[in-house]
Amino acid sequence: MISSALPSPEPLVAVEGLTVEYRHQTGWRPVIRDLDLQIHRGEAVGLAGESGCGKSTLVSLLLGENRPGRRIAAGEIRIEGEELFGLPAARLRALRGRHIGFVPQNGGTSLTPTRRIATLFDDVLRAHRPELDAPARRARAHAQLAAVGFPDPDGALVRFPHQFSGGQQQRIALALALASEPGLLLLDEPTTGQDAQIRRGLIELLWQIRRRSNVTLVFVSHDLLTLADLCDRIDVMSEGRIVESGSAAAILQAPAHAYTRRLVAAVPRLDEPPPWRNRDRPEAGRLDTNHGGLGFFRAIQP
Amino acid sequence: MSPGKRFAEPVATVPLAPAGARRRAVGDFLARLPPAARLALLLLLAAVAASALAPWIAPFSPIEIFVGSPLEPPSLVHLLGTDTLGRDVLSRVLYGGRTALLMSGSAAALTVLVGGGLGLVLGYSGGLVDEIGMRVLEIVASIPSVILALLVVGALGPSIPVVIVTVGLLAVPSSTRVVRAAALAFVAEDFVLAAKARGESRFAIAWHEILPNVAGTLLVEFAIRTGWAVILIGALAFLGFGAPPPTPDWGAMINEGRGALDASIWPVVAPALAIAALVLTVNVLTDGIARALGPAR
Repeated sequence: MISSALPSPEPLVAVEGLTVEYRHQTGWRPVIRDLDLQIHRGEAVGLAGESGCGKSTLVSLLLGENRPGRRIAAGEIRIEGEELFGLPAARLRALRGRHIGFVPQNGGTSLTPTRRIATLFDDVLRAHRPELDAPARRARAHAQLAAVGFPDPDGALVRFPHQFSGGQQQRIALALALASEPGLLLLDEPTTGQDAQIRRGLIELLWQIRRRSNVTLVFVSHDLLTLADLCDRIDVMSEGRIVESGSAAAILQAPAHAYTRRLVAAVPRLDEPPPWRNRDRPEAGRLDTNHGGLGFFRAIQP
Repeated sequence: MSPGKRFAEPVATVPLAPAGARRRAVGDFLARLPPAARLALLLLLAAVAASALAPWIAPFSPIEIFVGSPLEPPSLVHLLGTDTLGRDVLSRVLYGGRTALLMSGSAAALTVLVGGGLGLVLGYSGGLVDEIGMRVLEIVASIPSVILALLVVGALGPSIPVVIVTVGLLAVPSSTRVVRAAALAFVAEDFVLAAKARGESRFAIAWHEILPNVAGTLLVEFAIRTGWAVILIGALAFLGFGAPPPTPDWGAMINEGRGALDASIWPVVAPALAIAALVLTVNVLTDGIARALGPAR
C-alpha cells in the first residue's frame, strides 16, 4: 500500500486545539474553544454560525492579527506549514496580502477614504509585486477592476471610495484582495447588508474567480444559503466550536447538531410560509422546524 | 498583444488627480469657514505680509537709535512714537512681527511634527509602548512650561534657535495626547485592518491610512500651538530670555518700555496690542478651522 505510506499533503490552513480568550472585567473568557480546522488547497469552506460565536475572531487570527485584550490560550494556526504567530513581522507582512487576501464585511469602510482607488492598488502591488513597474501596476489594477465587473476601470481608478455604491465598494475590496493573486482568500461576511442582487452577483463572481484561479476560499457568513451557493464544505460554529462539518447538501438536508438544525430551520423558504403565519392561518398547514430539507432549492427549480 | 500591453496605454493617460481638484478643495474649505474666521485669515495674511515687507514699508531701521528723540509721542514722522533709545516703535513692531511669526510658527511646526509623530506611533502601537510613552509625557507635562522653558533657555543661553526648540518641544506632550486620541479613533477602523491584511508595513499604515485622517486635527493643533507659542515666546522675551538685543521682539519691547510708562505708553501698548491681536486672530481662525472640519475633529 504505497499510497497509505505516503504522508498526507500538508493542508493550506491547519488550526489545532485553538483556544482564544477575551479579557473581561471578571477575567479572561474563552470565545474559541479547542477548535480544530483543516482547509486544503482549492477548497471553498463556509464558516456558519450566529453572531458572537467566534467566526470573525477566527478569520482575523487566520490573518495573523491579534490585538490587546485578546490572547491565544492554547493551540496553533499554521498556514502552509508555518506557525502564524511565531513568524517575524516581515514574514507575516509578506504572507498577508501576497498569500492571504482579505475581504471584510463592509467594503466601504475597508477602503481608505482619503485615497483614490488607483493609489490603493498601487500600495498593495508595490508591497507584494515589486517586479511590476508603474505602468504594469496600473495595468494590473485596471484588469482587476474589469474582472470584478467595472465597465470603466479607468474612471473607477481615479475616484475615491465614497464615490461608489455599497456593492461597487465591495467589488473593489474584492479586486484589491485579489490584486497580488493570493492563494487563500478570507471573506468575513462580505454579503451581509447587501441586497439580494448584489449578494448573488458577488457569489457568482467568486465562483468564476475560483474556477479561474483555484484560489482557496474561507467564507464567513450566518447565511447558509449563501454558503451553499458557493462552498464545498460548511463548518458550523457555535459557542466557539465547530459543531458540525459537511457538504452543503448534507448540512442542509440532514443537519445532525441541534444548533445546525435551528440554523437550517431559520433559512427562508418560498414553498412554505413561516411558522408564525401558520399559527394565524391553521389551514395553511404546519411547518416542521426540524425538517432540514431543501424546500427552498426545490421551490426555485424551473 | 499581451494583457499588460493592452491595458498599459489607455491607463497610463489617466491623470491621478483631475485638474483643478486640489484648487477646488481649497476653495470649498475656505467657503466652509465662518465669516469671522475668514476675516481672521485675512488679518493674519495681512500681518504676515506686513512683516515680510517690513524692510520696504518700515519708515526706519528697527535697531537704529536716536532716529527721533527718546519717548516721542505719535506724530506724522513716528506714527507710534519712539522708545527710550529714540528708535521708531512702528518699525520695531513691524520687524518684531517677523520674529514673532517666524519663531512661533517654527515652534508650532516642531510641536506638531514631533507630537504628531509620537501621537501616531503611540496611538497605532497601543499596549505597553503606548502606556510607557504616555506616562513619560505626563511626567514632562506636569512641570510648568514657563519654569521649564526658563531652565532650558537659561542653561543653553537665549538665542532664536534655542527658544524655538524649547518652546516647540514643551508643547509636545499636549499635542501627542491630542493626535494619539485622534489616531485611536481610526486604528480600529476596517480600512486599517484591511491595510494590515494587505501586508502593508506599520509605517505605511500610519502614513497612508491614519495620517491623512488626522490631518484636520494636526492643522487645528498647529494653529492652537502657534497662538500658545506667541504668548510663551513673548513671556520669555519679557523676562529677558528671548531673541538677543537689539533684535526687535514684542516681548522684549514691552519689558524695555515698562520702565518709562509714565512718560509714554506707546512703546508698551503697541507690541502688547500686536501680541494680543495676533493671538486673537490665530484663535478665531483655529476655531473656524475646527468648525469647518466638522464634528469629527
